[in-house]
Amino acid sequence: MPLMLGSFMLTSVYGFTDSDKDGISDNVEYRLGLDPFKKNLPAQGTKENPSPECLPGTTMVDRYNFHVMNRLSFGPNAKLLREIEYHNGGDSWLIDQLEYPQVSKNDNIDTAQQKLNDFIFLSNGFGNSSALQTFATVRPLHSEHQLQVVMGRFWENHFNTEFKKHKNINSEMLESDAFYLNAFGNFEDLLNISAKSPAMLQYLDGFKSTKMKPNENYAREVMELHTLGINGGYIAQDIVALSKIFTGWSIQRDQDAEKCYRYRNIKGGDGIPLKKFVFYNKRHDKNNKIFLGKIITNKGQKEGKIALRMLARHSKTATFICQKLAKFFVSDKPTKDTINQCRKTFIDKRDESDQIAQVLKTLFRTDEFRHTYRNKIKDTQEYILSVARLLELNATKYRGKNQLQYLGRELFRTGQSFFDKPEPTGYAEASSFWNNTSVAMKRLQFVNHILLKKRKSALTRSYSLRNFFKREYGNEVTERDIIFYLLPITTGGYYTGEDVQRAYTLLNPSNEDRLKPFRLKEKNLRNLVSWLVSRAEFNVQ
Amino acid sequence: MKKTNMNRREFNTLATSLGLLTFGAPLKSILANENIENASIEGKKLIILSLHGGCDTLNAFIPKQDNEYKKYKEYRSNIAIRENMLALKNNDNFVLHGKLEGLQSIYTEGDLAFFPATHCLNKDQISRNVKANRSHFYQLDLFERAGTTGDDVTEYTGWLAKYLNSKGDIHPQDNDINAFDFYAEGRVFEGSRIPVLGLDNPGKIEIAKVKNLIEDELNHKVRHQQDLAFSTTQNALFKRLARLTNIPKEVEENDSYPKTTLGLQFKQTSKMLKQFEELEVVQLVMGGWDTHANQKNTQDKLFEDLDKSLKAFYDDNSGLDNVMVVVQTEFGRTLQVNGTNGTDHGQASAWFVIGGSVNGGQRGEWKSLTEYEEGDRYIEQKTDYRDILGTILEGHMGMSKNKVRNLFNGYKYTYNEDFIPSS
Repeated sequence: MPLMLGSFMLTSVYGFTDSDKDGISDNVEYRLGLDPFKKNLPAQGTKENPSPECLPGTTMVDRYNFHVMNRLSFGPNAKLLREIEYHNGGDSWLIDQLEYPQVSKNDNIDTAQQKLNDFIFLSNGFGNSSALQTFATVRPLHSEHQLQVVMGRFWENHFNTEFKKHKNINSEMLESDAFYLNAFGNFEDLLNISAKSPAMLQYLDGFKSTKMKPNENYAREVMELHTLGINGGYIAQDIVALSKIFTGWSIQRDQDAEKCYRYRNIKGGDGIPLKKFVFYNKRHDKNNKIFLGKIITNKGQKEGKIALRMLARHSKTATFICQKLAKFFVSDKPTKDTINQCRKTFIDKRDESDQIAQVLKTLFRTDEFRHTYRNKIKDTQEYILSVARLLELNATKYRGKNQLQYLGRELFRTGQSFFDKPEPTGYAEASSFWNNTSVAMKRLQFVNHILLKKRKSALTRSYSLRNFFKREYGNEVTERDIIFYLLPITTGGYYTGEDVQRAYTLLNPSNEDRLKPFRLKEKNLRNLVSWLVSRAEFNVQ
Repeated sequence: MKKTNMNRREFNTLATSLGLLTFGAPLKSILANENIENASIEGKKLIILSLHGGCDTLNAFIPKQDNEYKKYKEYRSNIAIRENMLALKNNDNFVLHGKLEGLQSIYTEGDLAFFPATHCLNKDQISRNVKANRSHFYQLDLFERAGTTGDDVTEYTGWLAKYLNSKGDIHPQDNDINAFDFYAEGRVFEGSRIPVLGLDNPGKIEIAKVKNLIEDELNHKVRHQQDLAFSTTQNALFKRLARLTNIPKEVEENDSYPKTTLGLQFKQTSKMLKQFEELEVVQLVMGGWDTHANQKNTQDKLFEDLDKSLKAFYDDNSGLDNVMVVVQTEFGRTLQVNGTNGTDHGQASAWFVIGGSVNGGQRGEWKSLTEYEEGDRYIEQKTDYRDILGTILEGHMGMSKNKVRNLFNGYKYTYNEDFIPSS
């Protein structure tokens, strides 16, 4: 009923003929190379047997691939589409992503990141949170290891630290790199990275915890938020015991790192020393502690390692991490079955160095992941980065200000900038925590800022959609190329004839004549793209 | 009061038949609640103004008695207020900061009640000399969910969200503006089943521009079920924005508001109150009160802005017959001046309420500064903030005692007869 009403309105209002009643007027169908007398509808039917006359990019295979791209990367773009094509589908792409991660910073793949790091250090110095935003947006936009970057962000948020608490850019960058490089690794290793990270030691006050004054902050959060979960079965005494176990874990100046070229050339950087982990035996509480029912005798620094191992291997931890991963990748309310499958893998593979990769493989094989599409709302970081990827904003151009510095400002304005969450909980995975009218409004304002603003900011001036399409399709780029590239990619393969009609009107507002040649105008392209990325369809994944 | 509209009803039916989730609650449960009686007294409004940063209210309500004032000057030394203080009618204990002329006149009218030592500890905690947290974030969060210091939060719902949820007759798919939040990042409306419009500064938003982006889209009914969660949010936003931008010129523009962020918030609030009968609760926010340094000058400006905005709002709404404005802050500040001519995070602070049905005057106790001992740094709590809010919700908004207790997570507040006499 609404569909018929829609097409009736289109024909009556615009006075166009739509012979096959598919929502696209005959003239537009001619121009887009469709048959005006055969209905062009989104694909129906099964994966094996899609309907033959369907609109491009709407088959079940296409939709599954978009699903994989939306969940396992920071959003599809032309480059990623080519990769998926190369791998002959999302499934083999994701296996490739899981099995061949970047393992060392030196294998020269991340040159964009490396160049940018140097740039940040040389031009911004320390204490500059906007430089950190730039740092954090490079990999999402440029890395080919998209799933690894997604997981790096997951761990960064899981073991959240707030930059403002210590104001040391290097601490956050070190931690962030470590989470990225170990994103598919063993959970115990990840937990150790976080526990020894100078950012965490400062953020939750661990560095000043001594036997005289043990600080419970980290001990509480590591159990509540990083491992066992709030109902994880531990009691107040466990928090006290754990805080004593961690006494003496602290930070000191990293003088070796300070000798490096990069650091010496920072503007005013010598004011804030680089930090590294240190254990002060003198500050350590040497009494026996009873932690989670076990007596822990004095072993110095080793005690912390033992406690972290107990936590990492606890069955409650398996449940807690797996439900979080399922919420992150599958659904705000994942089924028990999905969580249990992952949990089993988490426990079985706990001695293996690719534990998390195995858990993810299990998760991506569950029916729930494979069959429930488009039921998660993108969080603000995901939304903004997916727009930036679609526009192919470039992080490595940095004459004066680069595009990503503006992006960092937009992240701040929309309320979800990196390393800025004051609470140790991190940003919530489930959308009910943050989906409100204010978020909707800020996203629209973002689109307005980066695509439509009349007074040209450096960001709107620094890229051209016209050039992008000419690069992709050559000078002879057609309306068909543009519309059937943009519509599937922004809707995950779920769009209708009415959407095609509307997209065409925006792309070619004054030209309904089927004989006039098509003229590609930046303004029209921007109107089209800003409509597409503002819609609910682009806000969900 | 409600505007009916066929499209909306159609949409409701469609949405219900799809079994959608809206704003965290299944529609079914909302529909099931439809029979709950509407408790609020028709036309009563509640405005919450949060002074973010921790307002040093010891400089707003200044102890007047000779000995106490002497102690005040000792504590505050060079940042103590020494001149232009304003007398409060029939009150021997306090005088007002010189910039608060408007508040003085409202007080004289008998429409301002203040509670000089308000905070969030319960009686047991006070007797055990527990101190409340002194983190901005923690305290904001606590007041937004009407909690007690140190309580365990497993499920978060803001107290104004609970207020809206307790009303059975509001339907989430209506385009009524029942509530408005100028503090868009706040959580006081978190968990509300009814979409709440939250915008930092509606005056500055180029509504036309963003509206064009998806206006057609919203009229366009073809949509996939999966995309509706966000679409519903956008819809809620735009239905309400459309009403917000169409407030007719007849709703007079009043020029007496200061042209500050707070002034504009009050001006916008006043316009909305006149235009939308259904609007019941508004949260306003004013930042900048975290005066660790150079307190005197900063506070002069802030008090002036606060005072002028409140007075303009009071006059514009003819003495606030049906409206009550609660002015709150997350904590007071230290008794002593610090090393940088400011004050640091403290404990209790003065909260005050303005409204036509308020029984004006000092309505909370106060421990004289002369009774504090060497080394005391904070103002001691004498009023539980939930006694203030509870009295307003019961006496002004007409909620039952049980419902108010639910809002406060079961906490048993005390009704303050002196503040709002129950009829």
